[in-house]
Amino acid sequence: MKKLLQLSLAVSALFAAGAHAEELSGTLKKIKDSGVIVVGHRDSSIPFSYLDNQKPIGYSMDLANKIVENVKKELKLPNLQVRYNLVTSQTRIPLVQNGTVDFECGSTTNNLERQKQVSFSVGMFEIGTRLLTKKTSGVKDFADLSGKNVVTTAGTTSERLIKSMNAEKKLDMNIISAKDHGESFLMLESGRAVAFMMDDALLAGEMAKAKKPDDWVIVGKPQSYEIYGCMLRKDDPQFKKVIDDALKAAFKSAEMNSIYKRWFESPIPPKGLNMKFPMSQELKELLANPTDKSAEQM
Amino acid sequence: MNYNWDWRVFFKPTGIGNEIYLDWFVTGLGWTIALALSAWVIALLLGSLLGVMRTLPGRYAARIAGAYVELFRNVPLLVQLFVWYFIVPDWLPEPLEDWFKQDLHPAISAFISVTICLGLFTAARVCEQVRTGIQALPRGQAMAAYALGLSLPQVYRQVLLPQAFRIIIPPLTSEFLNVFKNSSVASLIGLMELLAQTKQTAEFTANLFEAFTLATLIYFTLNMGLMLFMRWVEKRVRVPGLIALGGK
Amino acid sequence: MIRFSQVNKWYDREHHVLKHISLEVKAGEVVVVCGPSGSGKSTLIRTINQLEPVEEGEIWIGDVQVNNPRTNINRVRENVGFVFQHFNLYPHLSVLENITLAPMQVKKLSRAAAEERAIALLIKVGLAHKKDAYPANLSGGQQQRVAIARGLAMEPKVMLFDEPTSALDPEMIGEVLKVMQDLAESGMTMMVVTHEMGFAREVADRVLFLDHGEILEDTTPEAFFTNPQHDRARQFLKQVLAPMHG
Repeated sequence: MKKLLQLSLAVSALFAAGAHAEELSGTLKKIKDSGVIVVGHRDSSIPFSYLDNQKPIGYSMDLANKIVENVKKELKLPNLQVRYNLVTSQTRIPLVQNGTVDFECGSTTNNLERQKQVSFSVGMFEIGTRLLTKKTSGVKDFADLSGKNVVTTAGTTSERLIKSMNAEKKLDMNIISAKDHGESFLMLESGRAVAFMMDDALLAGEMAKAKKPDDWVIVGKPQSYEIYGCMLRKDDPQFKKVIDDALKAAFKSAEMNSIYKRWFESPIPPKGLNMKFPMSQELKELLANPTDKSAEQM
Repeated sequence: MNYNWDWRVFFKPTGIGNEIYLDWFVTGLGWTIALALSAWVIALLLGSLLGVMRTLPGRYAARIAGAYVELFRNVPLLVQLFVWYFIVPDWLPEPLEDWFKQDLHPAISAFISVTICLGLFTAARVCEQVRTGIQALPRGQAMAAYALGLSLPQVYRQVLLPQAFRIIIPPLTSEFLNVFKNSSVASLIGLMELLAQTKQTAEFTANLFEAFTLATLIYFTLNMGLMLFMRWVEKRVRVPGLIALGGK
Repeated sequence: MIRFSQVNKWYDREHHVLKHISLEVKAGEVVVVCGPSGSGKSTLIRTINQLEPVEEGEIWIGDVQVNNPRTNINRVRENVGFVFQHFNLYPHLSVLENITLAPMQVKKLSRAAAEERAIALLIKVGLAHKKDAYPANLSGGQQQRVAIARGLAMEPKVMLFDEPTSALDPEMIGEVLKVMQDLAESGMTMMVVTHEMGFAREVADRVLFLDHGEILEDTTPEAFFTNPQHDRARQFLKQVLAPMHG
């Protein structure tokens, strides 16, 4: 009898403790239970998320680390184990959905189609889609591309934009869809295309890698703006709040400018290239007014 | 896994012209078939020639064909494609190079590169099959033909090759199917064949599983169709007792 | 018609398979070559149409030296029919096509002419009704008769037979030997490697006995069977004749 009483006391004490904190659910519960958080990263999205000596680094990875710190704090798990999982543009959505990675920070555009499959954090970067061309090519804007070969990277918003522009305005461009940004630039460099349409930040990266960066120039009025965000599973408000809070706090902090400068205006590994890509007005506004909407929703 | 399935996605407008996503798959399939068939013609002709060379009595022909096989079989297909697409055009005389890179429609120049690349790659594999087929024939077959006064080309054309090809139809079938599968490397140099269209649909719609499921079904149906066709060919040319002879 | 003069042949430069062979076969003669296995008799007959090259000596057919590099060996072979132990019919061709192939390819005969000749030969070997069959559907004896017809279709001056009945079931040997006997009686020059001593006795004009690459006996059948000169020939005869009496 005495034993039974002791047991019931213990049980009620347990319940009381549980009711105290908010009940954990979704990804946070999974992380707490397993003691591991899995971060999805890219291998060559310079300077956002790429590998240097097998280690994922970049602008987005710095922000991902802020998120991990906040998860540790929320779960009171200072020794939370962090695992990095490489994703590609094709695997990133399913790997988030099936739980292989808990969230992904790379260079993923927040758009309506993807919102049907996954949830996005507040935006952390904003780009405009523009053109990279040789200084001597005579191309100043999209109108000059009529009848010419233009390269873009397969599966990007730029590909869709330029193909629909070509169909609507009957520009008679020949559009090449290369497999990645490196190959797109190779097509441009080898003379198969006169211009390379892509996110301006990525164009700056390719330009920095070129043998003679001064030969190249980014031109044209942006055809669209796109907001990059981190991806997580849908319908997981607890985890999304931890991620958004971490990003918002980072955006407000003085450290944000140094993170930006570190990746976009200083020499970066592995080769010490400098993107020389100052912060755009659009990004400044985005960081001042965080939103998880896609650019098309704004 | 909380994935949102939506099979109607194939009938949705792509936002480019008046196309729906299904149109992309049709276009892609067309490129895939055109690529594979053109590459197969090259592979079969060149591969047979090389296969014969490997069995000729003289040393030189056999060595040249042997070196060809080593080179084309051991360098990864992707590397070969890269060479044919990015490096070889630079060796052309200037006006031809400019024409190939700039005046020719990019899809056509990519098509030419992939066809040559895939044709020469597969030729090395066909060569080995043809050689095996010829060497599987009893020595007496060639001897009987020589004894009647047939010349070397006649012996190959009339006696050895008709038998060798019948023996190797099954392995040739699998090479034929491989050409279709391997033609997907074209997506890596921007030729919008079936795989490229699938990836593009997946990226644009975020309905990745639907896109790849449809592509799988198309590849599967295509392969089944080709296999049935090859079985039919095999049956049509079958000669009583020939296969049993192969092992003697 | 066929003349060997001091012919020597080695395998792999070590194994001396034909030793100082000199012999002559006259037109219309039927010569049986016998000897234990490994004696070089198949090699000997194959050197005549150069299916086996020789290292030394001269081989002549008529006034053509066949082992002269300047001789077009294909033209020589047109005139020399060869029948193999394993028939070597072309399995992918019908009986008729097997016979017409060489006349059409080599002699550039029209299909009609080649088929006419083929059917006449098939009647001769008793297989006209099988002209559309494929080799795999024929018995061994029938295949060998087709192979003989195939050789004859080139209208050769000489017919060579390399153990033509060794791969046959016993009950089929007779039909093949009958065809060969008819051919001999028609005046064809023939060299036959065989163990069929009955055939040698009845049909051959001469018998050659080979052992270890040497011709030990070259004589009439009568003399060979009744009075062989060498021990090894006597031993050989004892072995091949024994089953016939037992």
